[in-house]
Amino acid sequence: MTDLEARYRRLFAAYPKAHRAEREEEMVTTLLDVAAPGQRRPTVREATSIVLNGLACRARSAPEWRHGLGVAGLVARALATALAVAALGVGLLPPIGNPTRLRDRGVALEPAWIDVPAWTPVVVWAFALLVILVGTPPSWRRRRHLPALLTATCMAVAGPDLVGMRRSFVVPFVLLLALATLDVTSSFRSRAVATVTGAAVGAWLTTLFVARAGAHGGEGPERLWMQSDRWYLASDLALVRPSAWLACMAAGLVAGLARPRFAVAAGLLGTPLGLLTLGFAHAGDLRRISGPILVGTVILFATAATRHRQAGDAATA
Amino acid sequence: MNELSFLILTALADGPQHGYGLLQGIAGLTDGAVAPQVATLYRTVDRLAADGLITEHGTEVVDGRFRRSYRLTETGLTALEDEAARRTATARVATKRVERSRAVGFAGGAA
Repeated sequence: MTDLEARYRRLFAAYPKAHRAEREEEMVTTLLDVAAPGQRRPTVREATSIVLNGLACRARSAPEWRHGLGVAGLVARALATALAVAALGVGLLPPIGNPTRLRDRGVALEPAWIDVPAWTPVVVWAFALLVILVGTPPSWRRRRHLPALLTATCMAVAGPDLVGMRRSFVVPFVLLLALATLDVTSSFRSRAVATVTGAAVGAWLTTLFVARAGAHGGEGPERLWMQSDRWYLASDLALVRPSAWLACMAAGLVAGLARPRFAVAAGLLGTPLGLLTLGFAHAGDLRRISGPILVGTVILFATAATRHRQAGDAATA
Repeated sequence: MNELSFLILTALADGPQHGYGLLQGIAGLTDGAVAPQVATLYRTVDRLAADGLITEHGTEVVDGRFRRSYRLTETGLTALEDEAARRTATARVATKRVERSRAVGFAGGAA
C-alpha cells in the first residue's frame, strides 16, 4: 500500500463503518486513478471533500444524530436565551463596589474577559443573522416564520435604542428569545441540522458579548467579578453555570436511555461549542479550547451546509 | 435534478461506467469545466442508485484494484430524457429572449 493510499484510507474514518465496507475500495481506486503522478498526499480539496461527505453520510445514516442535533439546537437556544435573561438581570442588580475604591483597598485587578472593538457586535450580529437566514430551511423562510424572523431582526436593531440599554445585552436577548419562540412553534424534524448552526452561532455570540469587557480581582470566595463596570462576588455566581451544565448532561443521558437522540444532544452540548453555549467563555478557557471550538464550528457548518445543499437539490429534482 | 446528477446520467447513457470513467465522461461533456471531487461523485451516485435511476452493472478487480461499474435503469433513461427536454426548452426560451433583447437594444447600455 502506498503512502497516498494509506492517507486516503485514514480520511475514510469520517464515513460510517457500513458505508466503508460497501464503498471504500472502489472510492480509493477512483481516487488513485485521478491522483497526479508522484502525488504523495491527498490535496486539501480532496481531504475536505472526503471528510465532509463522510460526516454528511453519518448524519444521513443515523436518524438519532439528526434528531439529536435538532434537540441540541433547541436546548442551546433555550439556554442561550436563559443566559441572556440572566445577564440582563445581573446588569440590573446594584453593584457591590466600584473599581477605584477596590484598587484603593489593594485588590489587584486583571483583565479576564474578552474585550472587543466597539464595532464588532454590529458586524458579527450581521454575520450571525446571515448564517441564520442561510441555514434556515427555505420552507421556513417562505412560510409563516418569515414574519417572526423579520420581527426579531427589527427588534434587535431598534430595541436597544428604544429601551436605552446596552446593545450587547439586549440584541442577543431579543433575537434568541424570538428564535426560541420560533423553535417551539415549529417542527424541526427533518431539517433541524440546518438551523442548529444559527443556534450555535447565536448562543456563542451571546456568551461572547455578555462576557465583554470584564475583569476580576481578589482570591477565593472574595474574588470579585466585574461586568460592564459592575462588581459581583464570584462566589455568588460560581455554581450557576456548572450546575446548569451538569443538570443538562444528566437529564440528557437519562433521557438517552429511552431515546438516543437525547443522548446525542447531551453529548453535543458537552463539546466545547456546547460549553460556550452554556456560558463558559472565560478568556483562559477560550485560549485552551480554541482548537476544538474551531473544529466543532467547522463540523456544524459543514453538516448544515451539506444538508442545506441536499435540501436544495431535492427541491430542484 | 442538479447538474452533477444530469451529467452522470448523460455519461451513463453511453454505456456502463465505473467511477473514473464517469469522471472522464463528465470532463468530456463539459470541456473540463465540471470536475467533481470523488467523494462528491459517489454521494451523487449513491443518491441516484437509491432513487432507482442507476444500478450496479458489475464488479471487477484489475491490478489488485476493485472497481464497480454502473448503468442506467429504464427509470433513469426516462428521467434523463425528461430532464434533457426540460433543459432544451429552457435554453430555447433563453435564446429567443437574448435575440429579442439584442434586437430591441436592452442590454449593453445601448438604450
